Amino acid sequence: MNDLFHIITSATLYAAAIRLALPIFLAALGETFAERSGLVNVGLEGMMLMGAFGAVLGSDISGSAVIGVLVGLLFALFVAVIQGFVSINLGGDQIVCGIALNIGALGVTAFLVRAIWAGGNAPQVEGFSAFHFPILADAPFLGVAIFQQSVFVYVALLLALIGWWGLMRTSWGLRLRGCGEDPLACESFGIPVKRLRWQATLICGLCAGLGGVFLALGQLLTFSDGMSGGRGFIALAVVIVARWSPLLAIPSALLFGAVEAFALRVQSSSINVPPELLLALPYVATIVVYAIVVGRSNPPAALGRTYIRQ
Amino acid sequence: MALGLALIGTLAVGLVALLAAGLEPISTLQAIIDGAVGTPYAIRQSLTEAVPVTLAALGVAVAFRAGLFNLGGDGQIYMGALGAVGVSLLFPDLPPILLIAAALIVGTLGGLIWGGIAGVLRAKLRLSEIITTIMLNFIAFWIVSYLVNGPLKDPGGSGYPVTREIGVSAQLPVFGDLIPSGAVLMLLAAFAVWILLERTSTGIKIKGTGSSASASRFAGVSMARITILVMGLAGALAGLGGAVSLQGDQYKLGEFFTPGWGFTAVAVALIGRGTAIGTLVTGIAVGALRSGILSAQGTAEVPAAIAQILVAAAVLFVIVGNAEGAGQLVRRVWTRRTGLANE
Amino acid sequence: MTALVKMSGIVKKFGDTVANDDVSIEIAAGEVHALLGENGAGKTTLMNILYGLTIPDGGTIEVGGVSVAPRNPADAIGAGVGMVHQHPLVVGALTVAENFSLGGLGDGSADSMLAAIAGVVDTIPLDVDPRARIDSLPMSLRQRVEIVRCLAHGVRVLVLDEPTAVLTPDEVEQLFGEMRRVVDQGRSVIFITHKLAEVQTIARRVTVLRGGRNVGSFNVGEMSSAQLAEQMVGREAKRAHGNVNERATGEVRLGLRGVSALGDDGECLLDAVDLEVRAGEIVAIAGVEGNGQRPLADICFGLRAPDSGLVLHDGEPLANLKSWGRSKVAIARIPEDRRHEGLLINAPLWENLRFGPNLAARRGLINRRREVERARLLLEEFGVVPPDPMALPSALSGGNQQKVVLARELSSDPDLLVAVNPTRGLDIGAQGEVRDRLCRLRDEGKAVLVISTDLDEVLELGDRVGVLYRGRLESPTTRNAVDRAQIGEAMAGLSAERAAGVAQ
Repeated sequence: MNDLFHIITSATLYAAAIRLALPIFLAALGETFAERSGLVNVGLEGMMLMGAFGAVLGSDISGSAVIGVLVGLLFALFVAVIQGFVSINLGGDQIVCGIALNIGALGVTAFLVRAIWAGGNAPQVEGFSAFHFPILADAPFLGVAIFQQSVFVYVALLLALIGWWGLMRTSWGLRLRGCGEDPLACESFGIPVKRLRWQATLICGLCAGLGGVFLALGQLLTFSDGMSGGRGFIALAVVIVARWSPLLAIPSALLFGAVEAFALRVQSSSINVPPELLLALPYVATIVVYAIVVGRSNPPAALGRTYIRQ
Repeated sequence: MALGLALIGTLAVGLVALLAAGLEPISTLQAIIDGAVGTPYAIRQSLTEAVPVTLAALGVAVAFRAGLFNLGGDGQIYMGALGAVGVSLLFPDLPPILLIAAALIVGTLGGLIWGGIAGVLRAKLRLSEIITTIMLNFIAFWIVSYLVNGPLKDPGGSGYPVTREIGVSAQLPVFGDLIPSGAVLMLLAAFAVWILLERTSTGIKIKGTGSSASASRFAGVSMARITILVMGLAGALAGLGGAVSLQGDQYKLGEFFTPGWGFTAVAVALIGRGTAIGTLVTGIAVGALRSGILSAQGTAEVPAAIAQILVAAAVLFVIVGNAEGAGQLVRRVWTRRTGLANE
Repeated sequence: MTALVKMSGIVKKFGDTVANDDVSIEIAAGEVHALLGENGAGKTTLMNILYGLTIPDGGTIEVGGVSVAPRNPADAIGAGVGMVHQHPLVVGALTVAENFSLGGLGDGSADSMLAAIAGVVDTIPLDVDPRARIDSLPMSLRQRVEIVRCLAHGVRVLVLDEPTAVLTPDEVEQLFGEMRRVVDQGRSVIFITHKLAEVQTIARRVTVLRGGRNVGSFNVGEMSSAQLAEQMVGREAKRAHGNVNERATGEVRLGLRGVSALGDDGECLLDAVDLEVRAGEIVAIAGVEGNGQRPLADICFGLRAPDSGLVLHDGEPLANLKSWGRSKVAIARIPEDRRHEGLLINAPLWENLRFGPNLAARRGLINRRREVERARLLLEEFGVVPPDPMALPSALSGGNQQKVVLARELSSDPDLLVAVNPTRGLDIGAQGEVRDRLCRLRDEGKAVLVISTDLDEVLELGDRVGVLYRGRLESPTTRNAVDRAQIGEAMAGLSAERAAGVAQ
């Protein structure tokens, strides 16, 4: 019991929660835009994976983490472009396409890792270290929890705010939301549904890719097969829990991050629970939270439906 | 015609991948084919490799026809293997026929339960099976991981997280040193799925549910019942695949029991368009491909990941071939380039 | 006459179907021009081309003497053409003001919307809360939103696609008055309809489309109804079906007593409905779409239990949905949406013919050859063309699809038939066949309930007719005892108000 109390009240738990939640949040942010425009993008996992791989590749070749970010985003965009073309221009089955891209990403990254690096293992690379906010980083508790995070975290917060403002307060966002509710009506208003959905898809690719980049360069500093670990799918649930709102995605993703952080802390404490079962906790939590929320969820009306103009 | 294009497209992708890996295409292809079907042993290995994937894929196919996506093949395979290994290790003194049958049945039940959970969550709580089956995959993995690192760990296994090997009496026989019994089960399962979908009223209901939810509701079909039935069946088939792999090939359960068979199964079912025959043929082909690549690693360093890439590309080509707008796009591009107006 | 709109040689094919076959049409300025034709004649397609929603395969368009080729509605509006659809193209989940904003008027705020439409609402009043969600408004108001939007953009031509389908007779009058005012301002109105009466009331000229071709443009004043009808169908129009069965004395197959239904938010959808359908009669219920038809149909179909009241089969109350399976009254159901509810669009016809409530009863394996043979016989019996058991419903015309649904439902020799809008969207020939079959069922002693938003159908088929208004059902009275005007009033709720006034 004592141990439990210590774990819950330590600032490092919350710092870890934020770090662990970040990739999920970024993927969910991107997916929010895609789903708001009416597209289901199951390929989040693939985008994250490609983003992570590209980041490690770019950082390794150039020695610079920033280049890594750019390359990672490029790789993720590649996946997004395929998903976009098949879903939007060809009217193909969105979900099947996403699944195929996930498998493809697994294969392509595994293939390239073995092809590029001898021994088939990606190296350790330059990443991003934690960024200490001047003054605020020394604040009690919050200092450790919030103000010593990687720069990605602050960027992500910014993106959340921009995303919310863009989606809910601009006419562009209004048009995007219209596409997700009734693309035919929007078409009749002269709104370029295809173009807007493409924009949403590319935003999704960038965000999810950024999530993957952070996984690689902000946490693990290398690439390993399948390192996205189902986060892309958790992100799908986060979007629903967050009611398709960029802002609500923050607490929703944090919830899962907190569960994972908690599990890790308990693992390394003296509490006697098998570590593997703790590692299963985030996935159980996802199902539970999803179940609680789903009754009251209101997805965009045209979500997932193929829309092709005659 | 779409299928032919898909085939050509996939082969093209394979060619590019081989070249990118710095391999000479013709000889590599030769090595893969040899490794797949060149010798009786190769054929046996191909079949062994094909069985778990194809069984799981048959399950995915049935679910797909009902409009559901079973991405939980891996978790269900783990549960199936877990059930089978449990029975095999707990009752090693049973006569072989009983032991084998019991292990297979318990394995199938394990998968059925695991798939059924997702079905119930979908039917009663409207939770998307896409999300829940993936979550269940990880949960299953960690359960197995816990067990093979703890209670079920092989004390004499030099510290690896793996169970003891099952006794000979629990192992599946191979007919004529060529056809693993698992392959026979695979064929029987494919036949059973075909019968279900094409010759029973339940099959019509399943297909109806996947084709039009509103028409099924109107016809009085219980969506909840079909969902649970189909997901349970999918899980059962995958679980059987796991049990068969355990008892016919791997003989012990470890953390990396399945190299992503569940996902490959999804691709196989999608390429096979959810039909029993299509899934069976694709599954055997993919199994042969993987086996061929593995064998070819001796003569040419073919990355195993190529199989995954090919499979993913094939699915994409199949989607594109079936896409509503694809025909339109082709027509529009054709008329623009050839300057012909549509008369 | 200088044409305001001139479409020449328009060709549009959808696969093998030719929707518009070299159609040319001219609309003068300042006139109400009716575009008349049966369902499927190509009217909507032609106007969708004018509005940029559909790209033609051939032909040219001129508006005000200027050649235009709209690739989307924004282009069309820019060229001065606006269109209001049967199911208004507005985004349900967004507010009225947001919809106007999406349409280029205002920024989504209530004030900007009111400012943008200030000039139009003198002619077309729009009494609605800008912050209300579109899907909370009745169809007639949504339609109005679309009209106002087009006019606010200053279009010179306004196309209305079957606008009266969602209006009560009084609202129709109001709309006609407003259209006259629009035309007086120098604009033109193109009025798509299949109803002759409307053509004669509102239009100065009419162009008739039949089978994708323009069979002629006429001055309305110079044509009689019969002549117009003949142009429309190409032969002498058929007369009413069957004889009205004055007094049916058979058993009450279906009874509803005090049946009420509530919506998701607790709102009242059906209010204490009493209804009896006897063997050997057709009871037809009229009403404007959205007055409770859906819940009433679902309850009569057995898809939904009433929130209060009783449903009786042959006098036996059905306690819950499960007891429907044990009811002795065999029921056939024709749903409102044959494409999505009635049929499995991608399954072969032989499977479709099995896909009914009797499906559960079949145990064991299906003998395919026998099933296919059975299907072929059924298809031939019901006149489905082509009678191919392996064909897909998507390859059949609307009329043939409906015949397949009928074949499936009637193959079990039911005692009771419940049908919703059985002839909607069918060509005249198919309409006749379907109505014939319903009358034949009645003559064979079956009980038939028809719920329809088509008043003509109700008056033609019903031995007894009733009106559904705001969830309340006026007790069905003998057909010969009511006239069109009375029913029209009832559809608008006027007789209910009058009754309330008398009670005071």
